[in-house]
Amino acid sequence: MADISALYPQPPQPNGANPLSNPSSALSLLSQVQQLKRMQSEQAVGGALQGAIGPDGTFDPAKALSGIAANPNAAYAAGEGITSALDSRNRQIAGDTAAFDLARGQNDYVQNIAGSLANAANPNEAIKILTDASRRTNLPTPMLTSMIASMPQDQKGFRRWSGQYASVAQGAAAANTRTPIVNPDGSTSLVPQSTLNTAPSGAGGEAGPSGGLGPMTKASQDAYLSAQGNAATIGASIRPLQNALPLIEKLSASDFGPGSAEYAKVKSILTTAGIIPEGATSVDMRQEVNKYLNQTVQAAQGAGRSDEALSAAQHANPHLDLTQPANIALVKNQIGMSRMDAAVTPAYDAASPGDKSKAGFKQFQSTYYQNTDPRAFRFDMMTPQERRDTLDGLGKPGSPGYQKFINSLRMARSSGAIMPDGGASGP
Amino acid sequence: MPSALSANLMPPPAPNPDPQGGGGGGPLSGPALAGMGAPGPSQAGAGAPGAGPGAAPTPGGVMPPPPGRAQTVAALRHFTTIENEVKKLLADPECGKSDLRSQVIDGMTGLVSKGITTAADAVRELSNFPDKPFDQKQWLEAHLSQSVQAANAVLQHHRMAFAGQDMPENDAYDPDNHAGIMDALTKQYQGAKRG
Repeated sequence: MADISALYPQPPQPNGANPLSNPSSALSLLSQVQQLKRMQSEQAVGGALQGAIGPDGTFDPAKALSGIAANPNAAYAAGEGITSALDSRNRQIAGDTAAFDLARGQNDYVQNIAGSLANAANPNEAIKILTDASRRTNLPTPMLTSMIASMPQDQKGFRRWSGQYASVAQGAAAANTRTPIVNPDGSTSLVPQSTLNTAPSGAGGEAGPSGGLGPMTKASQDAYLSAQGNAATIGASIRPLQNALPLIEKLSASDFGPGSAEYAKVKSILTTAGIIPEGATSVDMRQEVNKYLNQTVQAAQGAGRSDEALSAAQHANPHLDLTQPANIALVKNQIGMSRMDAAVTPAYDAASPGDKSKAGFKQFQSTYYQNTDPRAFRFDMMTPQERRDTLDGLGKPGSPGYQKFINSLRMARSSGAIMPDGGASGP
Repeated sequence: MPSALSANLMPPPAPNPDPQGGGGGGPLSGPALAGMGAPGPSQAGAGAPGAGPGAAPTPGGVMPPPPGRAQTVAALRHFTTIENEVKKLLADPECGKSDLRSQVIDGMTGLVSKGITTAADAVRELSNFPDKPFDQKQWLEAHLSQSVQAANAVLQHHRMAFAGQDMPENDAYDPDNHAGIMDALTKQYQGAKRG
């Protein structure tokens, strides 16, 4: 009887032949090996990528590339791994750039807010600025309310607080710029702008973009310093003329001529003063002196409307001879005006000895010319007759005009514009 | 009386949960505002364009309209001023150890002089001031917490409702009408709570 088991499916019999002898079998095996290698390689690349993730979860593409390069098993999948790491790096750069742009935009806005806070006149305005900022920025609400809570309510403290934001808004370079100030003793010195920003407010306690020093105080100080500088220039420019004027007056005297002793004396002094050249003839001397007087009155600083009037007069009279007695008076008037200009800072110091920051100077300057009589500043150059005429024209003692002149004369003397004995015959 | 150890573990009790019975906000309590908390996302659009600034119905009641700029500035000034006053009192080394009533009266007088509160409200608030030093400290801590929360809540409500928008120039804070603005704001929030 036949073996019934022969009908059953037979288990595969071991093939003792070389697997490579069957081409299809060999290819299949090779494919399997390749798949295994790829899997191992991908695993190595994955390990390198995984190793590049820091404890804080950030991915380091450079470390990933190093890991791929260092592991020979990663060769198969290195191309894909490198592409993946580079893509990741590009995305990271793009993300960082976007974050940087965002932060930069926010910083710009915060800096603008700081500038606005520095300009805020009072705490309520600063709260309004921060309220507006809350709607336009992502600044955290508790941060904004903390800023408000830290804001001093008194004006002095508030100026210091806002001054800190002024320095932020100005930036490091501007905040460290040296700025001239007037010290309590009246001297000037240079201090960093940031110090000024947080300095207590000047007189009036007004607000200002520079923080501690309000705009009025700063403008007033600037005007004071400018007037001081002008005073020195004016003094230097009119001094030779002041010295020479009495001599120039003699040029117009009818009994004064070449050959006389007085003429030689006047000529030598005018030469020394640099008004006429050495060896000038009598005609030259008159022309040169006239030219000098013209230049002086035209170049006088701060003459204001008088300078314009003078200029108009000179243009209307091209051959104006300033050595004529009437025109000498015009020159004296110009000298008086220049002295008055130069006296504005000492006059202010005398009028407001307590204002060390010079915060009220601009206000004083604005009414200085209305409240001052320019004739007082040329009183020493007047003849006795002119003085009498001037005093007679002032009206009764105590009248506004009289008082104005007396005050101006005191101002002229105390400021050194005229010598104390210059008005000895005056009141 | 809470024990000294547990005092800091418990949320501070509201010192005046229902001040004046609806007669306006007390100077320190920040009625209705302090308990409001930061508005949730659903509240964000309460005053947004389209939604309108009016009250919107919510499951819990009526959503209060968001505070305008003047109201927000008034509230911030109000609560930060109170916060600073309370901080000064809490910084006193004697706080919690001896009676601070006189210092609190001084602080309250300062608030009245600054126009933050009215004299009548100050007197009413002082009537709730505890006698025992430790209770006084808790009272102050509670007010500090409420003031900080209220300031944050009002500003958050305003910023979420009007994010990115310019406010009308006439919506400006008037310090002389601080009490009036705060009264209106309080009623705005209280009305929403009751609704």
